[in-house]
Amino acid sequence: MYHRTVEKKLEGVGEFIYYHPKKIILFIVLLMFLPLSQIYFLKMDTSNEGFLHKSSPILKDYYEFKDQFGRDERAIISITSDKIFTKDFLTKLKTMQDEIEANVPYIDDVTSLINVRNTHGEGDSLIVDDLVETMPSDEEGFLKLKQTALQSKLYKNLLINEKGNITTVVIETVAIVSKNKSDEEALAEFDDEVLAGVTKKDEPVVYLSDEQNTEFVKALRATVAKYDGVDFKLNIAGSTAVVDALKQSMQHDMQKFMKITFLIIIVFLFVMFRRMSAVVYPVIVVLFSLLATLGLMASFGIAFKLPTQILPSLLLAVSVGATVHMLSIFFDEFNASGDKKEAIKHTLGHSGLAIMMTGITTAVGIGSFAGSGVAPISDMGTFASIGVLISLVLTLTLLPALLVVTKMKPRKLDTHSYSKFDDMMSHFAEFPIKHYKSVIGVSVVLIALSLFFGSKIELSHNPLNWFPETDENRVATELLDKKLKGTVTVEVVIDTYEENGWYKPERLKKLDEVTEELSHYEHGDYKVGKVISLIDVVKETNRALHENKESAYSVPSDYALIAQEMLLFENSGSDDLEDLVDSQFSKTRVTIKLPWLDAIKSAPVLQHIREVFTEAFPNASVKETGVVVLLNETLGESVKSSVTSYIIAYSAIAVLMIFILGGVRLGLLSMIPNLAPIIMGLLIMYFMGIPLDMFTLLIGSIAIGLAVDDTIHFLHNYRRYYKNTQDEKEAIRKTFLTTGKAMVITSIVLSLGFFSYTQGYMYSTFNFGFLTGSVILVALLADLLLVPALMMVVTKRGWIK
Amino acid sequence: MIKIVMILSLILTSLYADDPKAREIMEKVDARYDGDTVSQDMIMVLIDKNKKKRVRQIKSYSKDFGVDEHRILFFKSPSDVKNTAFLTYDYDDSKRDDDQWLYLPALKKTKRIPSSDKSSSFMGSDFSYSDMTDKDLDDYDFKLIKESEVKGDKVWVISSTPRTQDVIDETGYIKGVILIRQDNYMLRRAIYTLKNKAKKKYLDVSKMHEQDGVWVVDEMKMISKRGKQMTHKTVLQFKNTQINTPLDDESFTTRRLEKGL
Repeated sequence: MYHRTVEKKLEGVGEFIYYHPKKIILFIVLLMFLPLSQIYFLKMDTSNEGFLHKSSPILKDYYEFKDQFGRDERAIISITSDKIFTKDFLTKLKTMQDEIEANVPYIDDVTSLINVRNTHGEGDSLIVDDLVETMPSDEEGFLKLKQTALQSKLYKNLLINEKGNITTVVIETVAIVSKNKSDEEALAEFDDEVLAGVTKKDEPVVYLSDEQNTEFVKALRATVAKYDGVDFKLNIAGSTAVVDALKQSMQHDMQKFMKITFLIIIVFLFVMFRRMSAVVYPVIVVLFSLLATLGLMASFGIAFKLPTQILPSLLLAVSVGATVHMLSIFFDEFNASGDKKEAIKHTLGHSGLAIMMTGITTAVGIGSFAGSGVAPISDMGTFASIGVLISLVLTLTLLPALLVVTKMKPRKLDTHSYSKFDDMMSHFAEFPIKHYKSVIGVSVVLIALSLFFGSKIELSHNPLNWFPETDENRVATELLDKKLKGTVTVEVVIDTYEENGWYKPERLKKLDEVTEELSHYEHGDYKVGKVISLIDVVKETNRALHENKESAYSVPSDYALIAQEMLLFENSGSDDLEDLVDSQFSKTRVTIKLPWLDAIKSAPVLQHIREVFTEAFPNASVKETGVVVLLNETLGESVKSSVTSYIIAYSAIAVLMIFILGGVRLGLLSMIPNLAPIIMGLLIMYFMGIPLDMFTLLIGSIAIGLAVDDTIHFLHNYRRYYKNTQDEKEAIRKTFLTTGKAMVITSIVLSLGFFSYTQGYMYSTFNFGFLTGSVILVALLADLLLVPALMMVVTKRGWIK
Repeated sequence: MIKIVMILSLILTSLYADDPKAREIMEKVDARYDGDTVSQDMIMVLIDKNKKKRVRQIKSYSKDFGVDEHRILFFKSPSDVKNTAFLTYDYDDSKRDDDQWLYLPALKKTKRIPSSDKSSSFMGSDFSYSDMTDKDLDDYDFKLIKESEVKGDKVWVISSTPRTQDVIDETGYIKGVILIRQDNYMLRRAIYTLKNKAKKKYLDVSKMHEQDGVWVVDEMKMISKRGKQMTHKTVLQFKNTQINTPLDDESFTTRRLEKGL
């Protein structure tokens, strides 16, 4: 009933478009102007915090930490050499360090063997100076230096490995960025702020952005490149460098994906229709939809992040299908009758509804991610789904309008190549008709197997593993993880809410115990590489005050002595305390260095750290933060929101199917051939060793939205033919020959679109593209085998009315 | 000969970009008489960005020993550092590192803390050791930027640029803009840019008075800022200042340090 009404209305729309094509084109072009003008402002963000929503409490803790202690993410230059403790090496190291400090922007602190804090006692003197305050003049001096460096608990695995052949330069960037002010501006500020004694509260704090991080990493790479040499083997690691490298490959890959997808679309459209207009117009429609979507993203200030990079080619591949359906019906009609007006009316009336429905199911599938706790996944859900809807509207309006204004002649198509295809299809149709029981049986077995193996697939979130094994960033980071036991940190902030709370000997001793315990902690692949805390400063100051006696490398029991030692340390030339405690001595920071491993593995370690600290300091607030925590939270959110997204997508699409197919039983039944390919995707994942991560978790919802389109087309036509013939076999054959062909072609194009991601540099997009492409092909098979087989069963029982 | 000297001096001035007018002012600032001995109570208020305060009370004595200055400081409060004391010999010769000793009452020990680094914090405040001691004018180029006014007092605005990397390393500053009061050659305000370029320090000598013909600072503030954000602030107040009361040389020894107030 409602079908007829909607079809009539759509025919009306077709007529309107026929009489006012230029108005429609003009209106759409004007409407597009606003989003298109914003594209220039589109940003990229590959930072680890970019995965989380700005409102995330985890992120709030993280920023609070940055406010107090600075940025935890560092760039680490590792230098491998057998001649570290020689004049040549150390001189070169110092020159390089000076140049980094002078030339690289956003630097807060650069630490190397040259300038690392060296607290020691000499006679009646207490000296806190740089390790290489002056370059030794003889062999003996270098030998002594080597001894000091290798014996220090502080430097071990931080600046030098145990073997003494790898040293690092640790570069910390500023957390908060500010424009350099001119003297004039600074002077003017005096009266406003300095004398008033306050900083303007409403001034928002600007954290180092992802772009500035890129600027920093670029400048760093450029500065240090020339120092790389035989006895000075340089590698840059650390999360800042990894984040930058992710961005570089993302930019490169994204362009590549789009080029390939465009190429596929153009070739396919040309082969199919052999008309310029049939190539140019769909391209205009998908390009407009894409640009409008990107423009909208830009105007909402949404940056491109790692998962969002798949959006452009996804949108292209998904939206071209609708244009194909439109064009094929239009040209069939137009070539036959030569009447453009009728052809347009017929096209909209006949397939307008189906196109709308398939567009909506796709939008629902992708849109189900809009509520994700992972920011870029939610952006992707929102904007890809908006993009699909934009392209749906443009396909139903702009495309016919463009066809109307174009002068064209009806053309008799060479049907020779199609007849072969027809033969193949009618051949193929017999299979599910004859073997419907086996088809259903095999499907059930495959689904069961897939579920069994699927349950064994591991969850994962590890941006480092998205790089190929040979990537220099991955290699450098893994090298440091192995040789210096870690490149990332968990930061723990313990707030006693007590002024001078960290002077208390009992509390410091507790901290000493905890850090000692943690520094030997191991869990699976996770080995804590190092723990840095206030304890280091307390112990080394105490030892230096006691004539360098190792026995004095401990926490004193006297409160006043600790207070005086800290005062002494404050006065002795080191600013290192501000990285460890707040100025009230009520909060302290403990840095736990860990290798960069998968977030799934960090969960028990984080749990352990949390327990140890809360148990040791029951009356204080304990907060863990840092990159490891962010990555862990991202993984948790990916999984949590995927489950929600699946529930939303599957139920919404099931409801749509019930509505479209006009029956509860049939609607629910139609979900089986659509869920089956997704479940079988798990089987592929298991055997290919692909983990469930934020990319592969997307497939569940994206694929259902796409797979269901073919089912809609198949059942829509099957029902129509069954009504005419009352013979399910005949109806299947007819469906194969009509819609079946279009299904095969659009599915192949769609899967090729996804397979284009396999040409990317990173595994993440490779996995996503390969799997989605495969699932779409499996879904096609399910629609051509399982759907007719099921129809063989249920039609007899009177399900098709 | 005269020609050569002229050319040389021209080269030198252009090299250093020094401004004789500014240098003349700075020399007058440097030569200003500030008393042979000074004794005063110092109250140091440390304020962090959350406006939390820590207060330290210190008794300070200083005396000129020829061109050098010796200074001794005793902590009176807070109680955990009471009687902790510092002795500093500040040498006029910038090539010679200052000598410092510290007495820790909890250990009953005096330790020498040699340091060539004057950029480090003075007693955990925003002031550095270099802020608390006289600077060697030969280390800097000065340039008069303009004349201006601060709260009705006329000032010269002078920029100072360290001449060598060593000076930058030692003081931690790559540049200073100094405001000198025209009536008494007292430093009124200054803005220092740190080696870490994102950081700036703002000095405001907010209260001063004339006593026995000597200008004495009563209150000064140093504000550390990172961009627009205040990261930390120190207010130093000086009370009960006495100029030229006799202090014998024995008052500036490690023995005196250990004896306490």
